[in-house]
Amino acid sequence: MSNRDPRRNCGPEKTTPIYVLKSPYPENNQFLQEDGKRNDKRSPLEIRKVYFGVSNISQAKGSSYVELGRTKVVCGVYGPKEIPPSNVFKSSGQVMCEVKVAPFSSFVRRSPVPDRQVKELSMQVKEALEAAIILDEYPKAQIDVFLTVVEDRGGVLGACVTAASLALCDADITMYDIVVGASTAWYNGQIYLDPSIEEEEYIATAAERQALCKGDGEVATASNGCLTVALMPLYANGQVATMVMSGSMTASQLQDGLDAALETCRKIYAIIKQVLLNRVKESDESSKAEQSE
Amino acid sequence: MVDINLSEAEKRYIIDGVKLGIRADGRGPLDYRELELETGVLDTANGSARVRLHRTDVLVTVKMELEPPAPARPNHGKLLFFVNYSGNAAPEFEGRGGDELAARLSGVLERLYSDANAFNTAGLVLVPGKYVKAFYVDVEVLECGGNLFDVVSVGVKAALYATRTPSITITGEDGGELEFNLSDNPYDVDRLDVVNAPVLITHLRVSEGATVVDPSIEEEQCAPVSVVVGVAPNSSICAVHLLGPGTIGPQTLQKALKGSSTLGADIHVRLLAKLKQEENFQGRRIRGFLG
Repeated sequence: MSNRDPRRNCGPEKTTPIYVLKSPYPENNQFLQEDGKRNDKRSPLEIRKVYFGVSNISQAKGSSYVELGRTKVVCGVYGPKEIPPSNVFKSSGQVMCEVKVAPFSSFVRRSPVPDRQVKELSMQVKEALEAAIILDEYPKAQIDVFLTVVEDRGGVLGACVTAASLALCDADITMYDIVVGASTAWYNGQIYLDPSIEEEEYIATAAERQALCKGDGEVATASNGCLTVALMPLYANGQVATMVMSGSMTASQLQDGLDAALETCRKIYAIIKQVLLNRVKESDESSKAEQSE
Repeated sequence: MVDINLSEAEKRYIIDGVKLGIRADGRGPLDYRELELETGVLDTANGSARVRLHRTDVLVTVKMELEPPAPARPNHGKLLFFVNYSGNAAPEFEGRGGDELAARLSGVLERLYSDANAFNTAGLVLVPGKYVKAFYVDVEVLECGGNLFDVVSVGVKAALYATRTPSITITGEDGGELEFNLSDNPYDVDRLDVVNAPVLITHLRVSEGATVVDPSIEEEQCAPVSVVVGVAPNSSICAVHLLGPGTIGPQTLQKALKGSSTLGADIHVRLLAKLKQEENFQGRRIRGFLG
């Protein structure tokens, strides 16, 4: 489907990305290296390095910047602002969530116009936030959440949900709890935390490769799949706000991976709390310094 | 989705009933309503199915086209889903009103069939790198009576099972363009292998620890969040989605996932038996849209 965007200079209609001819990923085509470590030298239950920052956009009410490994997401929150009076009166607030994926965020250029996947991502983040924000405190109001995925190297849904929660906290929006996202993958029955985009894509085509090896008609029995879950750890003893899983596995394998992902959420939650506390201390000190001048 | 206004008392009645294990229409928490299924209702499509579950009515059609493959996957066919919420189902779906919900459902279906175990697109190649079979699955939601996802997934599996495409042979080449010959024989048809295709099972989380399967539209008004689980015939779980602005506790989620696994296997056995029975019924009169 060629979306001829009239506002931009698009290339010729029929184009082939060069990565069709040569994959951007290393040639070895194995999920694990010989020493049992993953391709990026992590052990199976090790997550990528994370970075959380807030108040990076000065014009926004609240903003955040999240890095999960090389995945980078920026979030800006505006509002609450009054909705113009219409025939439908809503006694609780509305959340408008828009995720935009930058064209340069992945190896193959993505259209700047959001496609179906990106629209689905927006809806998933919106639903997670609607569960977390105390909307009854904002009648007739709308809270705008804008997310931009600067680089997509895996775990995008989790990063977006975490970034949005951080930005909402930075904007002083009252919430039941912070929503934290994390992802897990299964490959050949083993659980791997925080898969990178190379691993996610490898797993997506894993079943075909296994089917090819086994011959027609046989269903591949090893479990493969990816899962992203968003958790509110302290609200009502832990509540899951969003969950998306695809692949093929038994219910007990799914349960194990889900537990591992929820545990990761709790660990990230602790880091985020610290980030927000530091921010509050910082702004407290700077306002005290201004007062004493 | 569709607005039916329930009073607070009616919602309380339904929720408290579910907590006691009784639903408003007398079903148990794991009971489905009666499902009607018929395939081959449209001649213009290669495969079609109409599924009705109480007030939920869905029409699924499958059409095949020959297309160049996606550049990154030259040896694979395509399976594409398009969902349309008909204005008949609710006035707010008229025009582009139902587009957001439709995008949701198409996304779920795509994820459900993305695994090669569910549907193998490798066998749909005609000329590697040049022509592959692309199957367009169009879902038309005619009426929304609760539990749309389950009904649509059953309809998709049935329509794909009933799909018959004429067998195609390449007869020659004329100036760089290939010439195809479609068989005239109505019994010389290709079929799709959807024996392992999954179906969706929706659990509505009514309260902590209490979920119900196949929620009616009244029950859907009482609770915002549901878990949709895709289950394959061998009880393996292929997809999980949490839908709706709400949360669910991990224990309730776990129970729903385990329950779906066993329920799914049962549904598949019955569905396949019925599809085979319908197929082998000689001289079947198609009821179609009458009554």
